[in-house]
Amino acid sequence: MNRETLSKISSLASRDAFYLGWHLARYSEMKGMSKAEVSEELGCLPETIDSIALCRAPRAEPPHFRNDIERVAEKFQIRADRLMNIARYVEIASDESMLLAARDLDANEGKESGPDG
Amino acid sequence: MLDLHQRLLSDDPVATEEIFNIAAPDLERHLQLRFPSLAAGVDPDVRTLAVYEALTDYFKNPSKYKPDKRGLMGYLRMAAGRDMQNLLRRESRHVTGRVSLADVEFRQPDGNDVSERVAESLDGQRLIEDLKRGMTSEERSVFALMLEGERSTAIAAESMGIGHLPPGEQTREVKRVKDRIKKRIQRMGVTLR
Repeated sequence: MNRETLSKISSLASRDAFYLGWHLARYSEMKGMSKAEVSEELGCLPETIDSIALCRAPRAEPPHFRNDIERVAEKFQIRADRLMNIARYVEIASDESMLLAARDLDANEGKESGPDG
Repeated sequence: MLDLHQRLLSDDPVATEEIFNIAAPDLERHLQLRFPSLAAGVDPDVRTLAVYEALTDYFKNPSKYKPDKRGLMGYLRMAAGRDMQNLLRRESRHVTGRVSLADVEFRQPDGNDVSERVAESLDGQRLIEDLKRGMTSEERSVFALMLEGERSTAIAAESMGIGHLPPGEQTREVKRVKDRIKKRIQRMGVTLR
């Protein structure tokens, strides 16, 4: 698939929660991060994000969730722990009733990474 | 491909990405051959969207594909072609949704209403704008009424400034203008089958 088509299809996939692209796009929006910044967090090239986006989103059930994330991470040689955090963050934050909890998570992260953390 | 289908059935999360990589270029080529030229105003990315929709539908319902009946690519090509037709129809209706050419003026001698065919053939706002550009002022005003779904001959006659004429004459004049509009539509390359 050429880059242009890949980019278009990846963009379509980012609107459907069936695809991992949806999680990546929501994460990017919520955190105000560019695609390049998300790719840096995952440890891959920005172009690779478009391919990762076409993978099926991880199944919600605990054993499958981890397995699916690890499978994607293995295929694209990216950080499984980071991908897991992204997917979890989006799952939590997307649930409106849990939105506040996600903000708390953010705040805690800030404290932990601070000079006194 | 059958191996990828099996992996999809067994919930391998990367199978979708691999199938996209293999199938999307083939499906795009297939749609390019089957739908070589798109009418003015149609989103040039419609083929990519059709490919995406066909593959996504397959990913969400992989068991609908029966390997013993046909090859996976044949199945996907058929699905992409169907999705492409639906998208073109949807796009055409979206733009011309207000076009109610079901008016008496577009009835053929055999009594068949050609309006639906016209509506389905008008592909986009650009085509409508091109049509308007070549019209006289009276044709424009009548065409504008048709776009709004106005069917009344009397109102069309008023818009043409001939409301003072006897009803029979109004009908003839309105019909004359609407026939000219119909010819313009046909000259734009819209086929009234």
